[in-house]
Order: sequence, then C-alpha cells, then structure tokens
Amino acid sequence: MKRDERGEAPATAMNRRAKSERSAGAIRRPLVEGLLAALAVLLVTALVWAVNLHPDKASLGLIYLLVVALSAALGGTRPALVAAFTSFLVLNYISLPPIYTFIIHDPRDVLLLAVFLIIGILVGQLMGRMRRREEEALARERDMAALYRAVVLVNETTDLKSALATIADQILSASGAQGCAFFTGSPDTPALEPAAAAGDTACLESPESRRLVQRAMKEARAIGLCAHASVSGSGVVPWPATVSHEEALGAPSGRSDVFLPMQSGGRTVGLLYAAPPEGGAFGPAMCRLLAAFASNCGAFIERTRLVAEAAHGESLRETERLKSLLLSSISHNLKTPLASMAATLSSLRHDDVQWEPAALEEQLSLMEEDMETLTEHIENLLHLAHLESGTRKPRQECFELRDIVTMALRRLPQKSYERLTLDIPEELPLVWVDGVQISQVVRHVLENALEYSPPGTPILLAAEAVDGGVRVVVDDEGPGVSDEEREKIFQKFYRGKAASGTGARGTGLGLAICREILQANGGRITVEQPSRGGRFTVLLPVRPLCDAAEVEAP
Amino acid sequence: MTGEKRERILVVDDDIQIRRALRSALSARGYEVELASTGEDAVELAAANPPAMVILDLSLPGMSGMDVCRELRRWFKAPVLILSVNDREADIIDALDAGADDYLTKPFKTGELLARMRAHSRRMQQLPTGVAVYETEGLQVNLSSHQVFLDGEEVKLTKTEFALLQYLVQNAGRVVTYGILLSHVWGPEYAHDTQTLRVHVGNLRRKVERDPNRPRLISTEPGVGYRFAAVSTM
Repeated sequence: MKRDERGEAPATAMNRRAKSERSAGAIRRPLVEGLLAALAVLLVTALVWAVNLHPDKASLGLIYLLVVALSAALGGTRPALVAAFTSFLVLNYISLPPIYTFIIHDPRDVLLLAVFLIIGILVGQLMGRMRRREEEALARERDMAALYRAVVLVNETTDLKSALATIADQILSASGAQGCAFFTGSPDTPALEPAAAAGDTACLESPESRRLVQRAMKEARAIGLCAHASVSGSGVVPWPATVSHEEALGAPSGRSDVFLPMQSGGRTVGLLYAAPPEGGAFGPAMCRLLAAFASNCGAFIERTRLVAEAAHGESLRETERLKSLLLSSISHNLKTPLASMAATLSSLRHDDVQWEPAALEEQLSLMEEDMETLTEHIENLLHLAHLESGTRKPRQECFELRDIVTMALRRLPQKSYERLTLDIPEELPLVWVDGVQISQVVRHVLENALEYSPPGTPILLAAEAVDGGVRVVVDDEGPGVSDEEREKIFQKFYRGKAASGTGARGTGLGLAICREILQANGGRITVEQPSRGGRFTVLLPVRPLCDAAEVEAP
Repeated sequence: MTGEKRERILVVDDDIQIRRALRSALSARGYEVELASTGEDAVELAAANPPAMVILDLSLPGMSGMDVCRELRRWFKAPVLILSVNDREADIIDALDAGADDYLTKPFKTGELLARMRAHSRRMQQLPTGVAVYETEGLQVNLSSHQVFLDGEEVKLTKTEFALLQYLVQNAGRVVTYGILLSHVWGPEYAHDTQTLRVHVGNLRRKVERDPNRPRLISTEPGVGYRFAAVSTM
C-alpha cells in the first residue's frame, strides 16, 4: 500500500480528512447563526437609538426578549442563547446605571437583569424545542410517506429482484443515502452478490465489506446502526441489536455505512446495506427509517419465498400425478393384449382338443391382432418418451403434402382405402415440417376417423393453402367431439366418451402425440364439429424458401 | 420346391429367438437355412459357401451389421436384406449406402419378409446387363432412346426426371437412399439436398403414376429413400 508524505495509507488519510471536514461543518453553521443573532441585538439597539425612543430599562428588556424569541423561532436554541447573552450585556452596558459600564449600582437592577436572562434562556429553549419538534414531525411524515409507497409496491409484485431494486431507489431518495443494496440468503448461505442495488455501492466489493455482510447475517446483529438509546419515539419499529464497525472488524475503522440484517419469523432472510452521503452519517431519524424498511422487506422476501415453494409443490404434485397415470396406463395397456395372447396360446397348446383349421385360424388371427395392439402401444409410449425428452427433434424440410399423406396411407390397412377420399390440389405450396413425424400425425387422425365413425361411411381428407400455411381437414360421419371434450382429448391418456362405448383399445396417447409433434413443427391441431360428423383440422407451416428450389442436373 | 436346388439363405442375428423363428419359417417354405450369431461367423460362412441371399441384423455384438455389409459387398453380389429396430434410421441409411438392398424394421411379419425375399430373388434372375427397355404397370422405359410411355402414350420428362427414373428402374426392387440417388443424378456435393430430390420425384410421379395419390411405381421409404416396383425387362 502506498503511503503519502505523512506516512499514512491513502485510505486512512481520506478518513481523517472526512472527519475534520465533518467537525468543521458542525462548527461552521452554528457559528454563523450565533453571530447573526448577536448582530440582530446590536441592530435593534441601534434602531431604537436612531428613532430616539429612549425606553426605560424594562421596556428595552422586553424588546430584547422579542429578538431572543425571533432568534429561537428562526434559528433554534443556540442562536437564541447567544441573543439572550448579548442583550444581557448590552442592557447592562447602556441601560443600567452607571451606563456605559458593566457595573451595576442598584441591587434591584441585578434582580432585573437576572430575571431577564432567565426568561431569555427559557424562551430560547422553549421555542427552540418547539421548532425541533416541528422539524422532527415533518421528517417523520416524509419517512412514513416513503415507507407507505414501498409497502404498496411490495404487496403488488412478486418479482423479488425488481421490487427490491425499486425499494433501493426509494431508500436512496428518502434517506439521502449515497448507496443502498439488498442481499438475500440465510445465515448459513449468505449471498455473495447483492440481489438489487442503487447508487454507489462500489465499496461493497472490498473483502472487508464482505466480511461485514457475512458477520451481520450470521449473528443477526446490525453493524453501524444508531444505538437504541439515542433514537427517540422508536417504540413502533422493532429495533435490532447493533454493534460498531470496530467491534465487528476487531480493528479501528472509519466507516459509517450500515449493515442491517432483515428478519422474518425469527430467521434472517437477507441484509439491507446503506451508505450515508459523502462525509456524513445516518442520524437517528434515518436509522429509524432504515430499520422500518428492513423489517418490511424482510417480510416481503419471506413471502416471495413461500409463494415460490407453494408453486413448486404444485408442479411436483402434477408430475407425480402424471407419473402414476403413466404407470397405470402402461400396466393396463401392455398387460391386456398379453393376457389374451397368453390365454389363446396356452389353450392352443393343450393336448385335449383337436383344432379344426378354421378354429385354429381364428385363434391365430386373434393372437396376431393382440400382437399388433401391443406393438402399437409400445411404439406410442416410446414415441411420447422421445418427444418429451427432446431426442426426436423435428428435422424440417420442404415436403409435398401428397408425399406425406402417401406415407401415412401405407401404414393403414388396405381395406380402409375404399372409405377414403383425398382432395389435394396440384398447386398446394410445400410445407416446412419433419415429413416422417407429420405423416404419423396424419395416420393417427385417419385412424381415429376410421375407428370412430360407422363402418363404410366416407372419410374426406382435403387440403388448401391458407394465410401462412397449409390447412388439412379430415371429415368423418361419426358422432364427433362435444364442446367440453374438445381440449381434453389432446391430454395424455384421455379416452373420450365415444371410446368407452365401442370398447376400442386405444392408449389415449395418439392425439397427445399429435399435438406434441405439431407444436414442435410449428403447426397446430384442433377439432371442430361441423353440421354433422367430426372434423380434425391440422395447420402446417410453409416457408418462402420452399418455393421453386430447382436445380437441374449438369 | 422339390427337384429344384434349394436356395440357401444365411440368417445373421444375435437373438436366438429370431434365429429359431426364421429357420422354422424359411425351411418350411423350402429354403435351406444357415445361421450365424456374430458378424465374424457370417463373413466366414458366406465366404466358405456363398448363399443365395443374406438376412442381416444390424445390431450385432463385435463386428457390426454395417461392417459385415461392407465386407460382403467387396465380393458378394447376391441380395442383402437388413433387419433393424425402428428408431435407427441413420443406421439403415448407412447400410443401404454400403450396399444392402432392402430393410425391414422389427417387429416384422414373416409374410412381408418372404415377399421381399421372393422379389429380390426374381430381380437377381432378371439381371442381365445391357438391357435397354424396362416395363411395368403400363409404364415402358427405353433407356437407349430416352423415351417413356405410359399406357401407350408418350410422357415428356425433363433431363433430370429421366435420369432419376433411369436409376430407380435399374435398381428396381432395391431401396435407394436419398443420398445415393442425389449423388448419382446431381453429384456428390448435392447428397444432402433431399428437398430438391423430393420436388423432382413429386413431378416424376405426377407424370408416370396412374394415380399420383396412390403411387404404385415409386414408393417412399420414409426417412430413408425410394424404391421402384419390380420390373420385367424386354
């Protein structure tokens, strides 16, 4: 550390200068006021003389009392006392015989002078106190207004950081502080960086400051705050225990900033830091204001933490619910076809029956269906798992819708083709999607239509270009979906009312998968109910770059 | 199948159940079946006694199905059919690029496998070189005169479309990956431009398919490539 000519380190030199400046300032102003008061007395004397009033000593004394009272009203106790003593002297000098001396001959004059002085002092004191009280009341009103604003703000928001930042600004303007910062955390894990700050908080970065922050939070004691005894009228605000900087650091310190731990429910939840203006210190009124802010913000921080915990608990519960739904669905959906396969197979292997070819064929056909159901369930679950874990990110390219529909059709049974009608215009723009994924969506939707509409009834797939995309509509003549179920059918494991009626063996996952795929591909799927039957609408995105990307072979 | 020489099929899969199932299904239909459970064994057996066809599982321990394919293709010309689990598209594409002819995803139907096997067998029998005219489903493709007729009427194709059709037809019955097709028609730098390919195949379909909505000639193998239906030559 460098040292200047005095042999002191720059930091301590700065502190000393600040101290002497402060005391100089402390002396300078009352000095001026006192001089003015004395001057006022002399002026009034001169005035009386000039006007040739020649009052007797008692009347002169009363005039001087007026001056004392005015000094008290304008300047407080100190100038009033100066005025009292000055007029005491002047009265003696010019009014009491022998005049122009400080000697008094008449003992009654001594009494007069003494009474005059006492009254002067009393008036000065009284009016000074009144003035002080009035100032304090005004200051308190200001504090309350600032605190009220902060309270209102705090109760309206749950975003901790921005609320604390605003409050820090409030503190800055209400207390005249140079810098203010909020730390969050607990005694075991005190925060290293402030959650919010305003003004000049550069000195917080020093290791000494960090030690003070940690110490204040660990011990739940303020550092640098005014001691309780010196603060008047503070019964309303809970006053924290406080230690000095020297005690906290174990070394002399010229600091005057305040480290105020914030409590709620008996625990420390954070720390309020405030730095007084350059060269000054926080007076009792300001200390009181800071303590009030700290107590309020402590409650606020605790409240946001509780709200966050509640929300977290809620989402955990939801995850648990889905998990258990998943498990029970897996269990049911996989075991059911396995059970019927097991039954058929074991029955076939029993020696007790000679199976007719037709009966045999039927049993085997049943098993094949079970196997297909099982395969489909497993594929659905896998697909969903992939989508949710993000391992099947869509690989988008420009596709012809016709290609996508063709891919979907290939996975439908041949006999269903006769029910399907396709209406895909030639000039349809290319869509920007992952073709394989969207073909799965088309397949699901068509399967749905085939399953839930009466056998033999027609199903229409029509496509048209719309603003910003391609709309694909699949219409069937089934019962459709009621208004209340419109959103529910896209939930995982939801089997609609129609399903339970037909005893169809779906997983309830198909439409959920469709929705996830469409979301990932930038499209949308919805269900409506036109005049008769059901309708699924799929919206697919297009991109300008898909137009005319033609490259001819060399 | 009596009286004819039975076709020998080499089945390579590390799962014993699949091996048993396939042996049972294939020998019941008159094939002679040889089994291998590792890639190394497969290559040895094929070299010692070349089979008429290889059915190869991609996920093998040790030497991978991919490597087996590559190794075989250094001298083995008969069809290689890949079996693989559904999710592994990239592996399927790699195997096809390395010379495999077709693929089936597990779980598969034996019926499907047998149909493919028959198709590839037929293709091998019809594979003379220097053939100029291919015909199927009313479509006639003449490679020397660069003319194409659908049900007797001439179809006008662009140069690119014809090049596409030519390659597909000459590899009829085989799965041709996007990459291979693009490299052959446009050049290796364009091997990833699936978009362009799709546009042109779409145009081609509109011209040569009787019902573009239900393509029977050019079928898409989603995520992998295209396959042209089996053709007969004249």
